Order: sequence, then structure tokens, then C-alpha cells
Amino acid sequence: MAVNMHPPEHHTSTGLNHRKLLMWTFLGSECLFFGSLIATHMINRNKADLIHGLSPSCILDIPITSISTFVLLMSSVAMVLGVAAAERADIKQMRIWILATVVLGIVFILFQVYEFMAFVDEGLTIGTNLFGSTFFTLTGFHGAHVTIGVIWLLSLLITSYKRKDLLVGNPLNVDIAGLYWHFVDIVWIVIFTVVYLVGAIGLECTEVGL
Amino acid sequence: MDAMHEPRHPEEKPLPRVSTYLLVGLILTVVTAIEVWAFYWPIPAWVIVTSLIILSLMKFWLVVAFFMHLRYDHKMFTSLFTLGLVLAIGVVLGLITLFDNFDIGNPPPTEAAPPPTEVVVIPAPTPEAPVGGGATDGPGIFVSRGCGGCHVIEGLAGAVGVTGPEMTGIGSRAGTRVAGLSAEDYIRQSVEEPEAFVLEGYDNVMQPLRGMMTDEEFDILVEYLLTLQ
Repeated sequence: MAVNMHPPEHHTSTGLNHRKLLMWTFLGSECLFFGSLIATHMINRNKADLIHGLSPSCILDIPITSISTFVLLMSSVAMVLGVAAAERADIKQMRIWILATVVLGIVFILFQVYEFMAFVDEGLTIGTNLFGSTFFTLTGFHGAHVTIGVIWLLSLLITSYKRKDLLVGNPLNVDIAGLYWHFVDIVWIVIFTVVYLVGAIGLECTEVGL
Repeated sequence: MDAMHEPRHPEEKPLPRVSTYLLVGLILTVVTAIEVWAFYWPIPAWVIVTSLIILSLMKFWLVVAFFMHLRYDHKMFTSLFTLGLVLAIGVVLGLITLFDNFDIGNPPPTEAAPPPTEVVVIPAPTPEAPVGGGATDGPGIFVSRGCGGCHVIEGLAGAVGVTGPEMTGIGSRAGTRVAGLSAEDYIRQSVEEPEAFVLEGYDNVMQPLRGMMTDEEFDILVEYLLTLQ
């Protein structure tokens, strides 16, 4: 019966699922994408601050960002529990954990919206200086990835009601979404350390520059 | 349960248990807390930066190995991801090496520069004179390298700031400011060592903008300022 309900994935020459291979290849290329953005930010963040006085140590809000980092981390834990539930075909648990992931993801995005608005309020926009340009480009692209992840997970949630059969015997559909979600989380691990903590470390906000 | 779906590849290990995931989640939380705590710790910045990088690499590995269960999956997946990751690290190191003025933290603050009494918002450079390039004439350099944010020159768009003294007609005054300094020497000193002489009524807040221009551009700028009568 299980076989009828859940046609196996196509046979492949490697014996490995091609969608999963594709996802890992994609994530490898995403490393290049975010790596370039992070490096560009690191190189440029302290340029032109002399003129504008809007520098990382003046602007970045470590306490707030620590909370949003924790939220995203918890979403990753929820995601992995959702994948584990899908693996054992426990559809109820899977729904709960995917929903939790979605909610935490949305909370993270709201934190980012708040952060962006606060920065703009203080005078830092994408056009203010190199710090602003590289910061908003990098974190904006990350936020876009989280948003896509939320939409993806919501579509899985809807699928679990409309076409349960696509998920019950086929945890890979959840697993691949999970890989994407965790990747977005590890990108944030790097951004939080390199952009926020290292970017604002050890120095008082010295708003001379004028 | 496994019978319900595609069995794992013979070379793959069974996936970790839920308890393993929870333990990894807990470790990640604790490590993140340590990172934030270290940030506020009064120890040398390089020690913190090194620790932060090691800790975040650890978190990176934990998520990839356990949450993305790469440790349990076929080596092919690891290879694909590692390929991208290694290339990415190469790109990052390459970029940083090419633009080797990469620094950690803030630019060094100017010596004993007191905070300004009021914050002046400096207008973004005009499109005709982008920061850090383009301008090769005196007025263009004056505006694009930030001078105009603090100094007025009558008739020059972008030279509008009032934090520093007005530069209109500076060529005729520069030679009278400091005994023994010619007009040119005085202007050069004012840009290169702004703290050497601060005009009465102004604070010692001028930025070391000399670094924003090449020697050639600096010469053009000085020449231009001398022409202002």
C-alpha cells in the first residue's frame, strides 16, 4: 500500500536524489553570492564614515540583533524537528513545527523591518555612504531569502492539507526546504558575527566626522 | 517507518535522533550567548574577534553537520557544498587582499577630537561629483572629498557646511594666520595637520581628509584654494 501511495523517486545513476544534489549545488553557489556581499561590506564599511559620521559602532544595535539572531536560531531548531517529524511520517507534528518555523521566520523579518526603519530614522539609507550601501544590500538580500523560505514553508503547510500524499511518504520535500532554511540560518550566523559583533566591537561610538 | 519511503543510500548513515537535534540547538544557543557576552567584555579586540570567528565557524559546522545532516549523508553532497564554500572563501580572501585596507572596528579616531556640539547632516555628494573619484578640478575635489560638508565657498554648490570656517577668499587670508607660514604652507598644514592651528571660535574637529585624495589631487586643491581672493 505504501508503494502505491508513494511512488519512489526516479532511479538515478548515483543512487542519490537529483533534487537534493541540485539543492546542495545551489547552496554551494549561494556561498559565493553571500561571500562576495560580506567581503564587500567588510572592505567598505569604514570608508566615508569620516564624512558622514554614520558608522557601524554608532548605528548597529547589538542587543536587539542578538534577540533576532536567537529567534532565527530557534526557527532552525523548529525546522529540524519538522523534518524529523516528516521522516517518521508524523504529519501533525510536522505541521506544528513547520508553522513554528514560519512564525519565527516572520518575527525575524519584523525585527529586520524595525531595524531598517530605525537606521533610516537616524539618517542611514542605502545611499548615505559605503557602510549603508553594503549593509542594506547584504542584509536586504538575506531578508529576501528568509521571506522566500517563509513562502516555501507556507506552501508546504498548505500542501499538507490539500495533498497530504505528496508529503507523507516523501519526506524529501520537507527535507529540501529544511536545507534551504538552515542555510539561510548559517548565513545569518556569519553576518551576525562579522557584520554586527566584529563590525561594532570594542569601540565607543565616535561620532566625530563632522 | 523507513519502508514508507525511499530507503537511504547504502553509504549513508541513519539520521540523528530528535534528542541530538535538541542538544545541538542548545549548544548553538549557548555559543551565541557567549558571543554576545564576549562582545561586551573588556579584553583586547583582536582576542574577541579571533574567538568570535572560531565560535561562529563552530556554529556553522554544527548546523551543516547536524541540522542539514551532511555528516550522515552521502559524501557527494558534502563535496558539492564544499566546492562552493571553498570558492567563496577564496573570493572573500581575494577581495580583502586586493583592497587591503580592510580593518576591524572603527577607523582610528583623530587625536583628542572633542565631539561636535551639534550634529550636522552633510548632504550626499551631488551626482556630478561622486565621492572618491571623478573630480579632477579644485572645486570638484573640494566638494567630493568632503571639505564642502564643513566649509562654505560662496558660489560653489556643495560647499555649504558651517562647522568649519568659511573658505571664501581664503587665498588672501591664509598667509596671515600663522607667523612664518606662507599662504600655501598654511593651507597645506590645515589639511594635513588640522590640529596644528585651530581658528578661534571653532572646535578641533576637522577630519584627516588628506587621505581621501592623491598627492596630485591635493596639489590641485591647494592651488585652487590659493586662487580664492
